[in-house]
Formats: sequence, structure tokens, C-alpha cells
Amino acid sequence: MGKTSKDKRDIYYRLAKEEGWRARSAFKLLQIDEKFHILKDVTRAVDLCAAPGSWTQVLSKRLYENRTNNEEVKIIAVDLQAMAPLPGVTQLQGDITKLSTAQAIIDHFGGESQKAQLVICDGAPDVTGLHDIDEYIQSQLLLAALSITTHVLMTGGNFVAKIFRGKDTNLLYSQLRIFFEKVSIAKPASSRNSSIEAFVVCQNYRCPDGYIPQMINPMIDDVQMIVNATDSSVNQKLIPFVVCGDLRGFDSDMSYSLNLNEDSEYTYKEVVQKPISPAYKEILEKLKNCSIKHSAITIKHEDEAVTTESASNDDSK
Amino acid sequence: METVLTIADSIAIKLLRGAILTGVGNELHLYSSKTCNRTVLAQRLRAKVHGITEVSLGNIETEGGKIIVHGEKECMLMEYDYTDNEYTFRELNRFQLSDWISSASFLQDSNEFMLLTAHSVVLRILYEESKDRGNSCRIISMCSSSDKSTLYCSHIHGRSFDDLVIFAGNAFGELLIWQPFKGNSSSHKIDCKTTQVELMCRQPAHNGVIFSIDYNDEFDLLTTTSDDRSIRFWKVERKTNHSWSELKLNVLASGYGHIARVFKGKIINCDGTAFAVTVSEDSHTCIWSSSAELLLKKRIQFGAVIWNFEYDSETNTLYSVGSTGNLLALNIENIIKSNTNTTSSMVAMSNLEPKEYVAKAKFIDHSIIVGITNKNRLIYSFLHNNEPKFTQKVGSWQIIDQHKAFKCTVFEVQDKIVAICGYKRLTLLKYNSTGVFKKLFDDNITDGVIRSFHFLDNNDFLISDEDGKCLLIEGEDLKARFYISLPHCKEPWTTSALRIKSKNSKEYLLISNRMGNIILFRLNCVSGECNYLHTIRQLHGALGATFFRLQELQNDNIFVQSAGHDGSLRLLCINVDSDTISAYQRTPVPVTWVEHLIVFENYEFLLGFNDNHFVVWSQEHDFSVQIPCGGGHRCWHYSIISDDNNTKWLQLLFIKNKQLRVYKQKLFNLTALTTKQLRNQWHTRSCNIMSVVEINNTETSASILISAGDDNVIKVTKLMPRNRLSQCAELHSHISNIRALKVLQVKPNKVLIFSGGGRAQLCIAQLNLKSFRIQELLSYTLNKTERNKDERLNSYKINPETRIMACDVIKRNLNHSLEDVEYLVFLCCSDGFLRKVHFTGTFEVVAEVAFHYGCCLLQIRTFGNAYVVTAGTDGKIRFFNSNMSELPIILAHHGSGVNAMDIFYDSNDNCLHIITGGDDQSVSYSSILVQENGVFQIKSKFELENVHSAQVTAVQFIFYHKTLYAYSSGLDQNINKINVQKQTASIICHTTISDIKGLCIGSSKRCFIYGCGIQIFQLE
Repeated sequence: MGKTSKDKRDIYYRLAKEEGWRARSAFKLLQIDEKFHILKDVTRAVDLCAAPGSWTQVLSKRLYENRTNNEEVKIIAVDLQAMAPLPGVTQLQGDITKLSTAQAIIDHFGGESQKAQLVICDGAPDVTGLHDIDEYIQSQLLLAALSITTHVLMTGGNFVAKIFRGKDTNLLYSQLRIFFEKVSIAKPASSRNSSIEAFVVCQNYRCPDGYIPQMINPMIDDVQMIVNATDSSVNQKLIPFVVCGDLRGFDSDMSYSLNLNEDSEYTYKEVVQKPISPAYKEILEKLKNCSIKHSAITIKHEDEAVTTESASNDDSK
Repeated sequence: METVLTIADSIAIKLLRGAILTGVGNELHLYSSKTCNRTVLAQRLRAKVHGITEVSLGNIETEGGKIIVHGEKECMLMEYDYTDNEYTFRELNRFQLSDWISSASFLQDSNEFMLLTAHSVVLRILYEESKDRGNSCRIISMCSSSDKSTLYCSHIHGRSFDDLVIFAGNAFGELLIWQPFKGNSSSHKIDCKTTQVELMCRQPAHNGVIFSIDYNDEFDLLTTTSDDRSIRFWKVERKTNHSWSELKLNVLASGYGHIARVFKGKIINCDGTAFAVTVSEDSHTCIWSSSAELLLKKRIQFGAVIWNFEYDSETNTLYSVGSTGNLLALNIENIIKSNTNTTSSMVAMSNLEPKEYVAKAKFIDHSIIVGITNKNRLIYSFLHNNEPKFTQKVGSWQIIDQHKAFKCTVFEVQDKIVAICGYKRLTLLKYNSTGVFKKLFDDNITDGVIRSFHFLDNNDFLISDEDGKCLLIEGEDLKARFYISLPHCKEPWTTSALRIKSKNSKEYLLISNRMGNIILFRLNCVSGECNYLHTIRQLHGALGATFFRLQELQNDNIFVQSAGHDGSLRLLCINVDSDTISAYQRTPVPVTWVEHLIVFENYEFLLGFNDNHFVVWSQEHDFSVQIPCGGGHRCWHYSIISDDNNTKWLQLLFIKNKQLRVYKQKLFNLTALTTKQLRNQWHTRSCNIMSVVEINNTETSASILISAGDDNVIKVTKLMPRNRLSQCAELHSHISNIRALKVLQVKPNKVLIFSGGGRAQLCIAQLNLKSFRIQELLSYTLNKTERNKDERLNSYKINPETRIMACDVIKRNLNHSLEDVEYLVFLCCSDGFLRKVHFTGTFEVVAEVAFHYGCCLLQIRTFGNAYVVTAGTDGKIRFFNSNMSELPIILAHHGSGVNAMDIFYDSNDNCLHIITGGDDQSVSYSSILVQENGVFQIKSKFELENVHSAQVTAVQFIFYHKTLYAYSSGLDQNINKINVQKQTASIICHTTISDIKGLCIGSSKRCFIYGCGIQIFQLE
């Protein structure tokens, strides 16, 4: 595999590097906006699970465009992880399942009357390989995002989040329908055809009568209607599937030549933002100096000294 | 639809007495370790089984108990009875929660149990039987933790309601410990007491998700495993044994032994010593001491992800389950018990001269070693085995020959004959059972140094010298009968040789030289001539083949296996009519240097070296021996012993640091619960495409599955009676994952397999449906010449290496002859081109044509031997003729990619039916009238928008009672039956297969659904 093979296999990965986006997912939000105009006239927006920050980048670019009164624009990026700073964005390192985080967002926007007009969430877990768990974890992330959204979103506001389509997605759509007038499933052209991801675009937030915004926990929820929302066929029919992005544009499943057009010559570019602290980072560091093909690395924590133990009296060649 | 067979993730496992319960997909399976039988107990859950909890209620006379089976939000309570070695199970109750069930545990009263949800809510549930109201499960109290993060794993400790401790792990690597029902804030709701308690401990434990937690109170030891590839050992310190307040966790040690995520780790107690076992995504298990020292690392699931395991302390056996649904056993007694049954001994050198050491040594039989010292003395010694104690004793060296006339270059032993070769001279000795070595031959026979010696068969030997001159010696008188001169090169001598007599008495000699060439000769016994016939160049790379083994002698074909230092096993075929040899099939093996192949009970075992380890490997048993020996560049030999229990032992000798070492290790035990009966050999990664060939003739009727997937393997599998899958053949010609497959029947017993995938690779192979031999005919890389041009001109390869997404083939007879044919192979390519490769009947490329399509193509089908239908990521259906000219008709079927397509061409009314499934969750149908003049006219069209709730990835037409139906499925795991005439669809069943890639319905009315696993249904 050559250095450029990913550039050829994944056009949006390459374009993201060339246009300075932190991740290819930036194009997904841009393509959703092309169709739904969710960024139009928005001055207060929240990006949940923001790291590495490509959606925040889109907000930071588009919300300040053609605007004279920049101080009106308020963008908050929330994540548990630290994220490299972006111009015009307030970062909040916090947990989206905590009420305090919701309060901090509301305070930043200037109180109850100045709630967010748009909440977006592109967060996803590392997939385990068991689709049922992955789909469940993603749905819980979405519910957590929805919970905090019910606190911070103003009536009439919009909410966009990633979902994994699978066997239980109808239930999720039904739950979202309780809070929004219109719910659509969007598949941007930059999201691969083979990928299970799609996006829910929820428009016109309207809190149901008697509902007190809270952190939704599936088991101990007082609001039974959320738990009991069913995947009835009536509900299904209300959810339109919308393909976003110009299909005559770039195809995310297609491999492209490095020479996209005749005039410009291809130059290789490094990624804008590398992963900050992946789980495998430590082991990769350790494996730079030794192999664990037949042995293991043992760390005794009392003295934190590293010793390499072999599988069996493994004398070297 | 009735489920016939399920191969899916197996995540849950529980050991019962003499039996094992596992979850396979949504099914509960019971394996009897005595009879090796598997029974499907329940298919009642919709979700995959994620956990099984058991409580035994037995006394001496009768045994029985209860189990909780849970998956996702569903829970099932069952009871079992165990009498006369028979298990019977009965469902008591089944219910569903509104959240994921993380773990379950019975309380002391077995009518009560606890369920813990993934958001840290503990439910105390009471099971009641009532004559009036039936069986029921009722929540009697509920308690939640102050932490609400989504749990990835949990462990409930304790059987008493007042003293439960919950250990849980989340995505942020935090270990959460709390005691439910110990808090103060409680409220009553109807008849259920609800409380919320504070966490006792929040311990940052890993950099990444915690996948498993185990706690053992005998050692106060806790283990966690994680995304970060480690197992971590913790000491749990408590103030008193009865109190969990003032809890302290001390991290002791971490072990990094896996190269992927560690999904499960458990503590095992062996005679009072704590060990830990981990299993991982990398298909390996590691056994650790409690201070995180690695004791064993072994691949145990043939490359499949391992989800879980259980340890049986009575038999010291680990039972693991993984992503292919297999339950596999590994005995670890010799690792955790001190009386190890691996023995090693160093042979004493006492009676050798000073500075004299054994330079070469071999076994004559399992108890006699013969060797040559650096001072050219021939010696031997007896090896005494003391079986009960697993010890070996080596006697002192006996000197056979004081003669030191020549330096030994080659030393070989077989059938008690010892061959010693040197400059010009060959000595052959035969060992007599009395301990006497009889000289058979001792003379100068060549002009130079002898470099190789091969035992052919009865008293036939081949020697070869440094000039490439070979002598074949045979007969009682040991005369040189044939003289062969090998081609001149740097090291022109042989590496292996095989003499074969065909069924019509033709004699062949097959040799390999150090250039890696395989050369076939014909031996004419009358004239004494040896004639060169044919060469395969560089088959096993440099150093040549290490062995040849005659596999099968047919009338017209002779099959020979060979291997070398290139990590692959080759099948060669000598055609007796044409006197030619061809490379038939290549199988990559995980042994880098293959040295020998031995066969026991029809299993082929490869002996060889991996890095600095000596290994024994077989397709069926994986690695059964791994001995660190320092590498393969040394003198070594083996012998196999079988004991009274039919246990095979391997004896290995090798010389390292001028010392002779002998190892003895159990090879495998045939009477133990072997994997032979139970193991399926299905794809270890996702199966992307499959084709079913139904054989229906007078002799047999069977369904043959030809499948390919992300594991780069094409498998040929037969659906056996009693619904078992049996693998017939494997094809390893692809270097990347396979997405495209077309099976073309050319003769009643012969099919051609066209396959395509990553790295622009198209492969063609021929499969014999009777013998299940596969011949690799061609591996072709698309667009190669153009890419080579790129490389010369630029520093980067500008054009992408395309992936083949789908393929179909038109076979045409030329000149009205059945023999004279050509093949037009149409390929969907990810670089946005539709390609056609034109092959002759012997698979020579005539032309490669490309058409710029504009988007990634996903589907292709040919019909009427003249037309091609395609679909791509743009959701449109387009048509071409066989010359790749596009026809002026486009059907818009979907808003985005077409993930599945089937066509049915009715030549009676010239009507083409097309059905597609899309990424946009809809199913779309069109029918087209193909007019005589080649003009296409749309007859009808409809779209079903809401039949699936996720992308549709599988569709197929089927005729049933003269009505056209279609079946569809997708990522929502529902199977829909579509009535094409009525334009209606209805869900007929739910499958446990996730990430469905397609479905196949054969003439046997079976529906095969594949993706992450395979499920087979019998249609009504």
C-alpha cells in the first residue's frame, strides 16, 4: 500500500486534507446544509462530541460568513477530549450526559431567552464488530445528545445527529418525532454507500406539553412516552429519506486518479489533525522497540519498570 | 420460515456438567462433551444471546437448575433437568426491558435474580408460578447508581441481596464500583421500591473502553481488559471481609500480549494459585500469572474474533467462542500445573573427546539417536522414557565407527538406514534390532562433494553432487542405474526428489533444485535413460522445495504436494498423457519454513519453523506444537510416538550451541473433545458474495455453496444431510478482499469460478464438483500496462488501483462448436469504469476494453447472452450490449447506491424483470420488453419505500406457483417477501445475521442469508 493509496480510494479524505478540514466528515455537514439550509441565519450553535472538530470548523467558517456583527455569533464545541482550538469557537470540555454541561451552554448563550438555534452531533463510538452493540451505543449517544438538546435548544430550532441504521432505528425515529415537527434521514454523498451511518435532520423543535427537559435514561424514565414510542408503520411513513450533496459531484465510493484536473499537479498533503490519544497509542509506542509475536510486555506498577517476559525460555537466535 | 442452520457470533458460553451451553446468534445451543452432539435448544429470542447465567439446584440423585439467557433488552428464564446424562430444558418466562441488559445473577433463592442494565440500573426480579395467572416475572425493587454512563461490561459479585457489589466499565476506561440497595434516597412506586446510590469508587483504569471485568474474592484480585490491548491486575483492599466501605484498589501489573482489543479476561484458580486468561480480537489467547507474566500465547480460533471463554477446572480445558460461532477447546494443563508433560533434556557428552561435540544427529526410532561428531565419529545412544513422570534419560554415546576418512557433508536417516555422504564417497549403514549397524555400501561414487541424498522408496536413493550430477541408486546390489545432469547454476544440486509410477506404469522422477525450479523427468527402466520433460520455474522461491508428497494417483493425473520456505503449500499435477507438470493450487500456510508433511487419521500436519520456533500446524488443529529452538538453520529431526490412549507425542531433537537437545510434547489427543465434529470452517470475516450450485442427479442431490469474503478466501462448502456445512475446498488466489463472484457451469461436473476484488485482481479457477479439486487457471490484474507507464513517468502512481465490485460472464460458442468457446468477462470497477476482458477458451486475453461510467459501479448482470445491465452509486440502471455500447435507456431506481440487484429474463415473452434494493431503504422493480430490433420498452415499474428500515442489501426473484415473487433483506435484518404482480410486501421473518450482504435461493427452496455469518432457512 502506497502513501497515496488512501488519497485515491477516498476522494473526500483527500479533499479534506487539501481544503484544510480536520476530517472528511466536514463535507457531510456541508452537503446536509446544501439540502436543508440548517446553517442559514444561525448565530448560536452547539457541536456535541466535537473532537477532532471538523463540524465545528464548518460552523466557524459558515456562521461568520457575510456578517458584519461577528460578536453576535456564538459557537460552542463540547467534548470530553481536548481539541485543538478553532477561531471564534468556545470550547467546553465536558460530559454531555451531565446537567451542568447543559447549564454551562445556556449561560454562555446568555440565558433561557437566548438558547441555541442549532445543535449538531457527529459523535460515534469505536465499533466493536458486533453490530447490535454498536447500534445500541450509537443510539444511546444520540439519546444523550437529544437529552441535552431538549435543555439547550430554542423552540423552532434544529438538531442534526449521526445514526447507525439497523434493526432498531425505527424506534429512534419515533422518539425523535416526539420532539420535532419534521424528522428526515439524510445520506450525504460524502458518506460511503457501504457505511451504515446516516444522519437524522430534525427540524422545528417543539417540546411536548408537560415534558420537563431531563437526562433520558431508558430504564428509570418518568416520561414513558419516550420509552413506549413504537416503530409502527404509521410512524415509518413520516420519515423521508433524503439524499444530500450533488450526485454528479464526487462519489465517495469511487477511486479517483490523483490528477483530478489537467491544470493542477498533485502534491501529497499530510492530515490536518492526527488522532490525539487513541487507545492503541501506548502499545504502539512499546512495540517500536520489541515484538510480542511470541512474548508479551509486562509492566509492574509498583516500580513502573518495564520488563519483557518471554512466552517460554525463549533464547534468541 | 424454519431455520435450518445458523453460523453467527457466539458471545455467551456457560459450562454445565458434561455439557456446554453457548449462544450462537439468537439461538441457544447445547453441546454434549460425551457424544460431541450439538442441539439447538431455543430460537425464541430476537436478539443475539449476550449472556447466560446459571444456578444449579442439584442434589445427589437428581440434578437441575435454572438459567437466564439474555440478549440486548430481552431476557428468558429457563429451567433444566439432568437425569441419565440427558438434559431437558423448559422455558419459564420471557420478557423485555426498555434498556440493554448488561449482566444477570441469581440470588440465593433461585426464584429471585438481578438484572443490571447498561445505564447502571439494578432490578431485583421475582419469578412466580401461578395456576390462574401463569408464570410471571415481576420487578420487586430497583436501584440505580449515581453514574449514568453507558456500560460496556459489568460483573455482579455476591449471591445475597444485601451484599451485592457491581463492577462496571465504560467507554472512558473508568472502573465503576458500587453497592446497590445500600443507599438512603429511596422512594416507593406502586409495589416497587426504587433507590439511587452513590458510586463507591470511580477508578481510571485504561486508556479506552473496558471490555471485561472479573473479580475473585479468594485472592482479592480484580482484572480488567481493554481497547488499549492490555490486561490489568488490581489488588482489592478492604477494611474487613464483610464490608465494602473504605475500598481501595491498587494496580499491580499490566500485561500487553495481544495485538488487538482484549474482549474478555477471567481469573482462574488452579490448586490455590491465581492465573488469568485473556482472549482477543486477534484470535489469540494468553495465559498470565497473577503478576502479568505471560505463560502461553496461542492462536485458538483460526483467525476469528474471540468473544468469550469458560474454563473447566476438572479437565483443565479452555472453551472459547468467537465470531464464527465455533466452540473450540484447548487443554492448558501443562501450562498451569507444575507436573508439566513437556519434557526437555540435554544429552550428556561425557564420553566424547575434549572439544568434540555432536554436529549432526537423527532419530533411528523413538528411542535411538544416531549422530556424527565434529571429529567425524559416528555415534549412537539410547533414549529412555519414563512415561508416568514425563522424564527422559539419555544413555552414554556408543561409538559405531572409528573411521575418520572423510568429512561428512550430508547425513540422512530413514527406515533404520543411515546415509553418510562426503567428498566422492557414500556410506550406507543399516541398524539391526540387536543394536548392530551393518554396512550396506561404502565406496566412492562421484567426482565431487556429495551435496544431497534423498530416500526415494524401497532401496532407491538419489544423490546429487556439487556439479549437479545426480545418481539414482537402486536394487539389492545398490547400483547406480540412472545418471542425470542438472542445469548449471551456482548451487546446482537437488533439495528434494520423488519417484512416481503412474497407473499405466510410466515412471517419473520429480526433483527440485536450489533455484526453486521443479523439474520432471521420465525414467525409462529398459534403456536406463532419464529424459527431461518439463519445468516449473521458481515455484518455491530460492532454496527450492523441501519435500514432495504423492497425494493421489489417478489414471490420467498424478497429484503431488510440495512446500518450501515461502509459507505456502502447493499442489502440482502431472498429466500422464502430455507428460507435463503444472502448478494446480497454492495454499498459504502460517508456517514460514515448511519442512515436512505428515498425515495422521487423514489430517495433514506441517512441520516447520516460524521465526525461532519449531511448529506443527494443521488446517484442522491449527498450531499443536510450538517449541523455541532458535530457528530452522540447524540440524534437527523428529519422531512420532503413539501411546496406549491414542495420544500422539512428538519427539524433537536439535542442536543448539553445540549441544544436542531433545523435546517431547503431546501432539494432540484424538479421543479428547476434538473440534472435528463441531467446528465449522466458515469465513472468519464477512462473506461478501455467494453462489449456490444445486446438484440433482441420480447419484446425489446436494447444495454446493461457493462463497467469498473479506478474508480473501473462496470457499466451496457442501450442505450435508442433517444440515451441517462441510468444507470441500478453499481457494487462496486473491491478495485482497473479494466482492465479485460468478460461477459458470461448463460441464455436468465442472464449474468455472470467476472472482474479483481489491487490487484490480480477477481470478479464474476450475472446480470439479465430484472430486472438489480446484485448479487455479488465471490471476489477472486489470489495466496493468497503463499503470506501469505511470510508474515510469511519475514519482506517484497517478491512477488508482481499482477494486472489482461485481462481475458477470458471457460464454460464447464459436463456429457453432461446443469446444471452441470464448468468454466475455464484464467487471464493475470502483474507479468508475465498466470493463470487459475478452478471453479465449484457454484463458488468454484477447482484449481489455473500458467504458467511462462516471460513478462507482456496484451491480452487473448479463442476459440473453447479448446484453449487460449495470447499476452504481447513482441509483440508476443502465444497459449495454456485449460490445460495450450503451443502449438509450436509463431507469432511475434509487436516490443513492444500488446495493442489490436481481434480474429474471423470460425468453418466452422477451420480458426482462429487474428488482433492486437501495441504500435509500427502498425496493424498486421494473419490467422491460426486449423487442426483436433491440429496442427496449418499459412495461411496468414500481417502488416499495417502506419495506425496510435500513439499507436494502439483498434481493432475489423466485417463481412460486407460477407467480413471480422476490425476497429482500437488508441491514434491518428483516426478510420480506414481495409479490411482484400485486406490488405488495410482507415481513416473513427476522434473521440474526447482521450486516447482510446478500441472499441466495436455490432450487431446493432453501434461502441462504449471508453477511457476518450465514443463516439458512427452509422456505415453505
